[in-house]
Amino acid sequence: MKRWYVLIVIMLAITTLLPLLVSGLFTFGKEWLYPELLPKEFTLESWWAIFSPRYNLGVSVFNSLLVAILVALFTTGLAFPIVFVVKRYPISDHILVASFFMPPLAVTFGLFRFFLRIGLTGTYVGLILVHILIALPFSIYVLKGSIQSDVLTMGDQSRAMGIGWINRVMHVYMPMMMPSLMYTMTMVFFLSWHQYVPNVVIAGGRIPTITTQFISFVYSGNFPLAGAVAWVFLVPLLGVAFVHRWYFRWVPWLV
Amino acid sequence: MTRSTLSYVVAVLLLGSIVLLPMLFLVKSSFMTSAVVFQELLTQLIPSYIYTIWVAVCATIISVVCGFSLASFFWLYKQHGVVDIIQCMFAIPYALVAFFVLVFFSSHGLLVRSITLIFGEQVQESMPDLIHNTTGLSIVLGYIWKQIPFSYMLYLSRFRRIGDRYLNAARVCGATVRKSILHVFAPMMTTTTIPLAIILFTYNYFGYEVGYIAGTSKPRLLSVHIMELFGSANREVKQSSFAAMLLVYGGALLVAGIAVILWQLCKRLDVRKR
Repeated sequence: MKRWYVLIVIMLAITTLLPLLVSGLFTFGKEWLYPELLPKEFTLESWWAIFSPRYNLGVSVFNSLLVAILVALFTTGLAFPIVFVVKRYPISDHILVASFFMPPLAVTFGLFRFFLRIGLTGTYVGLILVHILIALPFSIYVLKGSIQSDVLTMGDQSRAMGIGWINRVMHVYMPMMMPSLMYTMTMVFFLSWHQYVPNVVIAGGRIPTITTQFISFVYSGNFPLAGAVAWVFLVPLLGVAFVHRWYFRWVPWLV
Repeated sequence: MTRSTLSYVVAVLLLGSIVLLPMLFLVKSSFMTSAVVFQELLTQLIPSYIYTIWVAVCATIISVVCGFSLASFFWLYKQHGVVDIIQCMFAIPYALVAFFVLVFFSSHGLLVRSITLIFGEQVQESMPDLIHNTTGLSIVLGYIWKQIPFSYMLYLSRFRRIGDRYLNAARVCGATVRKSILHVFAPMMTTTTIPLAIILFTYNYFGYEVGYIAGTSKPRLLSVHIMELFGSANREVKQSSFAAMLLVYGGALLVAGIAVILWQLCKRLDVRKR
């Protein structure tokens, strides 16, 4: 059985890392024509190209980062009070499950006309609002799973002792739920960073993001540039994942 | 009205608005579409419906089964270091997954290049086109690459909550590993499996990036079809994309209703509560 274990771990490692390595190879490869298994020459041309003013990748990365960070903060802030109510009154479970059936595409199309009328299309506010609506059910679901009954009990006890709600939030709930809040923020950051359809429909090309730029490279068949953008795409994700891992050592709600 | 009732109402309204508000706006946006256009759209969308449901069901079943098998395997052997590897896959966006699928499985992709190198160039002609075939293989491959880690992590968390006691009890009673997984753990996982399947199916049903990059042009995924209508320069066609979205969303709500009923049924049948 030990052999099976090793085999499965090796297969997992290959299926995870091989695509990343290959996309890395694309960025350095030049004249990688069929049926060559490896590129003939290695060059840094794609890397110079993506950072040149022609493609303006820096702006896209900045836009994506800004939106993802703000969405992570606002969504977690909104989910935090809701989750206490959801936890106390289990009837809300149905609404929570129903909200999962509102996928990004439907939310975006649903809100497009309304946003167009009030002038929110093509703006950061519109884009952030749509991302928040998409991420809110997910963040509530994740936070709800992490609230233990002792958090509510401690809150009730401090309330009985006459502590006001601001102090309760600051000194009881926040410290007890900090790992879950951080985890939720990380997940929402990932969710926002990955979005493509809202960025196309709501931002309408006025706010270029890394996802829209990446997909335009892939669709036009420019694989060396797409490979380079793929790595830029991954850097913040790996950074956030690394910080998260270093800070918590383990995903809190798995424990 | 007490403070707790008020907060409850606010939470329900806020959560409900996520479901209802976009739906209401969608209905309003579709008002200008006539019944004839709706009928035409429905006829147009039927091949896409079948294709999308086929892809979504296949990807969901494979992801759930593989996620459960991996989680039970690693749970039995108490080796959780592998989660580090799997978490990497979890953080990778769908757009990138679509790119990987294209790089590996296209007609000039790495798989064909490797096979050509080993068996010679004549093999390339007999190789099936993995990207542009109507079975949706490339899209399913993309989805499962991303979703197996997700289901693995959810199942692993459930295994951790259940703990060792049932496994030990089954072993004492003489059950083999296979029997204890199939007859003890699998029934206990229904409360994880149903919501997981709902989440995965919903994503696969509405997923766009993988279908757009690595899918066929005919039949297309529903989301790709709708986005194409939306991107049209013709105003009437653009308008019909909202009506199409309403039709697609209606179908999803129907599935949601059935799934929620199933989930409630499974909760009642949960073995731990017997």
